[in-house]
Amino acid sequence: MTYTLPPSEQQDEQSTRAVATSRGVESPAPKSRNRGRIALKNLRREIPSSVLAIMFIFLIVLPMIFIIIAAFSTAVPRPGNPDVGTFTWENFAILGTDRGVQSIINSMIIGTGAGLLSLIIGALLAFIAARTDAPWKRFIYIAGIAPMFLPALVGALAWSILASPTSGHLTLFLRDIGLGGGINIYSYGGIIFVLGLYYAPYTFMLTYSSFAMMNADLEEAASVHGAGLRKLFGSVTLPLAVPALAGAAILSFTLAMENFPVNAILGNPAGIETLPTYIYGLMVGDPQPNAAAAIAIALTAAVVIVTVVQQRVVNRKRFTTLTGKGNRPRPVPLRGLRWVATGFAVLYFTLSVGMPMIALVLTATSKNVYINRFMDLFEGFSFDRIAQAIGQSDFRESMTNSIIMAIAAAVVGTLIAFLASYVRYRSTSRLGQLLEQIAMSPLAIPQVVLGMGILWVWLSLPFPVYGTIALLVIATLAVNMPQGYRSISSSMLQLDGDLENSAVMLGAGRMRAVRNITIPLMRTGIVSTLLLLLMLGLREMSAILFLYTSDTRVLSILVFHSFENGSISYSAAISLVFVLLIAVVAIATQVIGIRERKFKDASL
Amino acid sequence: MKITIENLQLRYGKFTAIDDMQLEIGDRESVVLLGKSGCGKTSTMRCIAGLEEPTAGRITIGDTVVFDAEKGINLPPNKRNVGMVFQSYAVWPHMTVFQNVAYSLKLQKLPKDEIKTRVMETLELVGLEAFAERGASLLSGGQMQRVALARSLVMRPSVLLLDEPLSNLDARLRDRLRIELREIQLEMGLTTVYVTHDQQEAFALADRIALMQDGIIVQMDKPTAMYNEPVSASIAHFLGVSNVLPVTASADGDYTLTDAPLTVTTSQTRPAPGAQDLKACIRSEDLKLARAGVAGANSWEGVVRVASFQGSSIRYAVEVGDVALDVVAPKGSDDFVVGDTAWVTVSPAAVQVLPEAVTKRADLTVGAVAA
Amino acid sequence: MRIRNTAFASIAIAALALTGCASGDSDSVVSGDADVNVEDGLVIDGELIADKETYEAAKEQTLSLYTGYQDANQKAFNDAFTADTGIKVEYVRDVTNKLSERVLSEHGAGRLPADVIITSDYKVANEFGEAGIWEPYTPLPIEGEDELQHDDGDFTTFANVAVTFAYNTQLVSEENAPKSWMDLLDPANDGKIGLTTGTAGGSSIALNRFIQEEVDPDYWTKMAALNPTIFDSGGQRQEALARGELNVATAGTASVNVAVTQDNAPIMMVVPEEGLVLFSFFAGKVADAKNSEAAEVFLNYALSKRGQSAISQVGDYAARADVDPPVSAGIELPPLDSEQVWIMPAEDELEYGAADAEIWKSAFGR
Repeated sequence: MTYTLPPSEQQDEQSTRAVATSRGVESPAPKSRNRGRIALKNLRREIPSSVLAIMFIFLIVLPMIFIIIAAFSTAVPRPGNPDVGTFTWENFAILGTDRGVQSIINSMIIGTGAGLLSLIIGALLAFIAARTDAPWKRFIYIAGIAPMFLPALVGALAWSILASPTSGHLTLFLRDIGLGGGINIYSYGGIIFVLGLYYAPYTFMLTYSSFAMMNADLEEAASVHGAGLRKLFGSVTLPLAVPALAGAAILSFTLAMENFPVNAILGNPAGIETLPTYIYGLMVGDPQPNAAAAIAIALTAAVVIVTVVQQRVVNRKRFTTLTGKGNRPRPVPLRGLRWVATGFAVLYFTLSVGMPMIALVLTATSKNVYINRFMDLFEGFSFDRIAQAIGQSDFRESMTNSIIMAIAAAVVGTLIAFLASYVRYRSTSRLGQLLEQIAMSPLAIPQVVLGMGILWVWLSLPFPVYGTIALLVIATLAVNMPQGYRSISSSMLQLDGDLENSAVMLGAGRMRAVRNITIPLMRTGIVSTLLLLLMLGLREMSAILFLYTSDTRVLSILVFHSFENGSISYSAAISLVFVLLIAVVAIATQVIGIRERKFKDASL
Repeated sequence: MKITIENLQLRYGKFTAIDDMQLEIGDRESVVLLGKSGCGKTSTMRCIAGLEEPTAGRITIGDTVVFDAEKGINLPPNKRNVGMVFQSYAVWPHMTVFQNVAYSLKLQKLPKDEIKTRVMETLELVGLEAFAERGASLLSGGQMQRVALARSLVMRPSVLLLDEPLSNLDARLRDRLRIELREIQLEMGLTTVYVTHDQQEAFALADRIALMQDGIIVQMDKPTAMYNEPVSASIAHFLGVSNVLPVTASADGDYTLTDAPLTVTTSQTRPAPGAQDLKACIRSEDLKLARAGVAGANSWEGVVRVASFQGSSIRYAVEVGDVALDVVAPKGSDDFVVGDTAWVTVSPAAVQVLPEAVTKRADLTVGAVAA
Repeated sequence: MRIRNTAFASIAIAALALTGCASGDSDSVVSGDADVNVEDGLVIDGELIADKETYEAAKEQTLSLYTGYQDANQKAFNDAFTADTGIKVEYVRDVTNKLSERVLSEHGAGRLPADVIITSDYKVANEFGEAGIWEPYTPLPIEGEDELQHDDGDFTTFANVAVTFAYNTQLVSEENAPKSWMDLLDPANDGKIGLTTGTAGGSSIALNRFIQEEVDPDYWTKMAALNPTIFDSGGQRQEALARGELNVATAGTASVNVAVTQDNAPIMMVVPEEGLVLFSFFAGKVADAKNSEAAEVFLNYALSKRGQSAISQVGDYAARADVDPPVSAGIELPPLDSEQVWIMPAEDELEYGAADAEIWKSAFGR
């Protein structure tokens, strides 16, 4: 028997809670005559959340319903197509065809390969940047996130210029210096390489904070108990990072699997068809929209399953390692490998940003479009092609459209995200949680699929939205809702709700309190959400693939279009401007991030 | 101003946070809602403020009904003229101290001069007149607390609510601010409702304490009465009585410890005969240690198992039978060490035999107004 | 708030800087020596394109054109049109089926912005007719020549596009170059042949029919054994050929011409022994077109001698027999009535199109 001093307060509290909960069940329900009034009161309270719910229905829920209807019907919803069709399972037969099976297998191979590759690159870079004594740490961090600002579409385009089997710049260069050919970007390996390269920043960002904020005490405890550095890494550091690593790997798996542009640009010449390109083919080439809907459902199901598994894994393993308090973890000495680690980051940056940008510049400016020696590229340069591209009216229109669409989607998206987050975390609405789930659901819906659903919804609704830029804004809003919502919510959760309440207590109306207190205090969160959505909106392509019309093309579509029409040099020229535009927004985002960190450091 | 709470109920789904509460707080009275976290004290305060919407009942401040479920009245917080100091202070970091305090006056569109005079007056009251132009994010915890208080006082609220305002401060500062708060309250003649889980704070600040458990006020008394005559063992325990020993009534009017063959005698009021689940409650400072037994009641032999030095006193854990007693003895010349045999005695007047919990409510309909 | 303004300002500046750049003039494929007379309406090379009233109205308009015609060719043709008439054209080019889906949807929603639609698929044009999309119109220059008009004047043959094949001159020498469609089946081309999907648009319909009628019903099966690369669009296919990723590929004569003359692409086309395959593009005026006058001027111009020779100059066959056959990449192509020219009878598509596509699909396992 051991003796202790009186039990601590904490234990008591727990027991009180347990009692309170069990008591609660017994207590009487409100008197029946109150019910009507309470119902009315609840109704009034649910007005903002109902408005949001209606928006979400149009943005996300209805499109998915239309996809499901189309998948089980013999006809596609379209104006002037009065019959709804009859129920059928036939559409799913396409999944059993050789081509269907092959697409599923290809998607799995590419998703898995790219997921693993991006995990390895991203996590390794994150570890080097966060936990080692490698030189040029700042550069390594930038190298880890920079490729995010190069849309995968542009990356794929650049790599097809660089490493096509006979005439790629890199292929020719290696051949000219006698290193043989053998490079072929139009292959499983090539697609996995490019996707892995451009999704690595996502794994980098997800794992970086996990490595950087890992509680050093845990590691120190292990080293006190005699674990060597190598063993420490294997037995403590790595397992602690597992949730972040698993989450990151699965995120890039789903992103790679549902990616359209890379699979289209690199897969088509190789005859490698994946689910998204198959859907595109069935929507565009050989129109069987009902079959496309069936495949869309299969693809969505796959992504949903994987996402659910990911959440299970991450939630189960959430031991509290990310306290953020405590001392900074000590850097791991790499000794002789210090420059190897930095070299790895330099190599990654070269492959993901350096070489692609050079290839685009060369293709857009070199006098020789078709070359069979590497040096042919340097025989002469002219900016005519870029000037011509920029002078083209369709370029100017697309540019304007891109900017209008991105700004509109960013502003409205931030507003909706703010409202949804406010309803979820600041109001007593019962719909809050449901709204959150809907807002986050596009993460599990491939963008191509959501775009398809939106097409059919707005073609069928009696509003003149189809053919206007508003439709592109709607699609962009829908697919980027999770990012916007998450970004705003994290900022709102950091803000104590009583800051706003105290303004109300002091006599301000709720709206006024939001305006005077909440919005100014969330300023950085709101602005960075806005810029994030702006950047995502500028890059958007998969979701609007079926939605743009003659006068509502945007830059990403123009790049893809000119590529499809065979004008590689033209699309390289547009890509350059496109990347420049995104870079401006990206840099603005970074600058604000840095300012905010400084502000926070100063106020601590 | 007077606050009247009638039949107040607050439910979240199936969980009942406040259960049919009656409470009347007199004008200029300071009532402390005391209880563990989750007992409904903060919910009660937020209902008065208007930040929570009760599921049933009525709340009246002065002559104004601010909430009535039956009539569908629910005055928004900004129309109740209630001041509230939050646990987190909720001082706005993007404004200066002056701007923070002046906020409510600006909303009332008062002339600039008047705002300035009133803000400076209030800042002086809380001792922050020198900090008016300082950014609020640059203040210390104690200063922020004062800003939060000043901000609420400047609007001249009918009622001031304070939600654990001192819990985030260090012990020394807490002691000082506790006294200051009481001074300001008395000086301004404010009706205040104060929420805390700390009985010391409650004793120091309250005209009356409402002790809450599981959404119910189980005892409502002046601090001294609460301290001396808790109505249940769980209240006694909460108020710092560390020896709460299960007992059974014996035929001779004494009590036997359930866990050891020892007899306990009390000279205090006894619970009604036939009452179940009785506990003998003895404060650790009322237990005395001696080398030899003492004739008479309440003297037991035991062995010292833990002795911990606390400065002016020593705290012992003494094993008596199967029961561990918590004893605090003043430091003297003859201190016990671990392993010593010791006799524990207690005066029957210091023993209270109480039921574990009370089932009846202590909700009062008439509030005693503080002197 | 300052931060946000800065960010927006920088975007706006970037946008202005870009849109403000001067537009570059491209070298025109179509010669500019037309005799344009605007004294009384619009008369080009002696043919009346528009009466005064129509032309006055049309000049103020910007024509909206939906087209399935090759991008480069359409661009060159539009440039010539704008240069000769002063009427601006905004066009959208897309593959036939996507264009058709879009036209039907937009028409159904009452928001079809196109004034003129050009498509290569008779069946699609026919469906447009059933949906009430066309407004019958007979271009002035061919009044009385019914053979170019279809479905009671709903739409008119605008150009004939020749499909053949081309080879990469850096990979295949002239003497080793294939001379006939059968030559493509040379095992040396294994993995080095480029095709486009055989289920989309007029070119595949015509090519499928031609292969069945004139070459070999098993041709596609034999071709499939050589692992050709099947592209989604002709543009990608030709780019791959020009970049040396393919030895040979099917090709349109006009786009080969543009690539060779404008971009110095190392490719050359062949007039196959079995023949060039011609399929027609049809142009029609959209009912209730917003820019009705511009649409009429465009159709009149398209069927005028000047417009038709513009088509010939970009490398396609004109619709009118009285215009010279095109010279493509330096080769004078055989005239329309030559043995080496096979023209797809438009209306045959309804009878054979689906079956031919099935043959193609099963050969390539699509």
